[in-house]
Amino acid sequence: MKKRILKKDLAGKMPLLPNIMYMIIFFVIPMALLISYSFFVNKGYGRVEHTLTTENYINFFTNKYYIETFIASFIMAVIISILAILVSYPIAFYIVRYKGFKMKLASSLVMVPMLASSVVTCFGWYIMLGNTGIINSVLIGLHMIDEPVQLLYTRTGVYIVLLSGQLPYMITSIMNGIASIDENVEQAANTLGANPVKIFLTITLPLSIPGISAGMLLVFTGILSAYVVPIVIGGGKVNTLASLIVNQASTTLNWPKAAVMALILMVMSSVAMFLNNKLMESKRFGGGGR
Amino acid sequence: MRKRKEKRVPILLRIAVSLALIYILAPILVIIGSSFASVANLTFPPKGFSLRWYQEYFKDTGWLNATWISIKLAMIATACTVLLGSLSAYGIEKSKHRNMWLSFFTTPLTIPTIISGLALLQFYNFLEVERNFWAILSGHIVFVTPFVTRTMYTSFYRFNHSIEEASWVMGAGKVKTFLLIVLPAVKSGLMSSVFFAFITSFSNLTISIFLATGKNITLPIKIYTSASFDPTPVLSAISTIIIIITITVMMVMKHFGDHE
Repeated sequence: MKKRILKKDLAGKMPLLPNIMYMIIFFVIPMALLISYSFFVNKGYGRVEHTLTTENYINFFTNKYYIETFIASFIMAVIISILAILVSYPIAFYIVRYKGFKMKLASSLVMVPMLASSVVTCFGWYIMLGNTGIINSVLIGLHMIDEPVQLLYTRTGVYIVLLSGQLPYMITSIMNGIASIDENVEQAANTLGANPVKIFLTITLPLSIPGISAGMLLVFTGILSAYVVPIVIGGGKVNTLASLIVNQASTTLNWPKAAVMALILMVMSSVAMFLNNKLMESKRFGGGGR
Repeated sequence: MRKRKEKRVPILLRIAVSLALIYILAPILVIIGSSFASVANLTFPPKGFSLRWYQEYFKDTGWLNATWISIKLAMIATACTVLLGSLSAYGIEKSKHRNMWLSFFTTPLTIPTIISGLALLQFYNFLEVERNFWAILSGHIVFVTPFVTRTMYTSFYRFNHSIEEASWVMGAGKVKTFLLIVLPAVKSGLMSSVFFAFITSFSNLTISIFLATGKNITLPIKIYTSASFDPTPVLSAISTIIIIITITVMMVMKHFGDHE
């Protein structure tokens, strides 16, 4: 009898098997390898010696340039997450609450940059940000500036482009958050005499926090792994942890160093995810986190 | 519900939404505009009108090769991920530990993509295997399958399982039931998985850049390298083509989604 149950259980697991095997070979083992590489000795040009050392970590944390880049990447991810909320909220609110053709159009248009490759939109920004690009032309045309402002190859330029690319993710997350609010609660507040501003601040906004939080997580990890924009728009002058990883892996071929940076990146995104999960689980939101 | 349609949009909200939309869509519009320019320097608004950059794209074997590799990659990746993802989603739905399995299979989504790419690169390097087309494919499958698994899991979850059980009771085998009863019921989830998998793989740069070698340059990699080293309006032309493909696929996807 016991054997039969076991057999049935195994048969039920059969559909899971191919993916489990695939994940183990192409995800779990490579990740384990990545962790072990961070403790190997670098021999240059992509070669490593398989003896364990903590030198790679010490090198990273004692290198001023790496620490500065690490902090700059973190600050970038935080600032862009916050800016993204401010820009995305109105548009998400509009799409969810005002039905009709325009809203349908807006919600589709927002998705386009998310699905088209990030290199494509990045290239569009490259054209716009140049000294003769549309942004400078418009600003000069409006007599707001006399000389073109240098935007390409600056941190400001990188921020402008990164924020634009992350908005679709934030908008869709906040949309989910707002859509799950029971509008009857707002109606009730309205009937009881609260004004629209008060309703928004005390009901709509707090209840959409799960959506905002999920969006922040997406944007935060998205910015942490962004390297196309820092390289193309920053032109090598604005580095992030991710662009350093790509450099290490493609030019210097220092695997242990790349592995250390990748793991630091992973710790940062894991912490963000942990905080997000904690927020979702907290009683205030009824544990309905997704 | 009917009343909502008549709700007036406050003017401030309208301005904020318009500005945000311009901010999001500006690069797309600029690319499309500049692809029709007749001069070689990249400016916007474009000077003149010509289709020469499109002609140049279709004449350049480098660009065409990259396009073909990306299409091939996306097609095979779609087939593999939809198969793997649907199977595991079906299995998860039947399992007692749904949450555990679902979080296991979607782990690649929770870590920055750049890390999975780097890990696979080191994996092939460690095995001393030459990285070829199939190596890139293996990375795409790792990255895309979780999306399919999640979408298909939702579809299976919504499906009324008493129909499936009825089919078993009536004597249809498990495989026959799956093919004739379950699969048609989750058709719309399957369709959106197919389109999403294709687009995600086709436009992927992060994984490909770690796994590609000179022989297997995908389209996003070629766009990325020429944008960093020698930006020309040919880039705008090919980007416009990609944007049009994306919008078309998206509309088809929406169409299937609406008929659910």
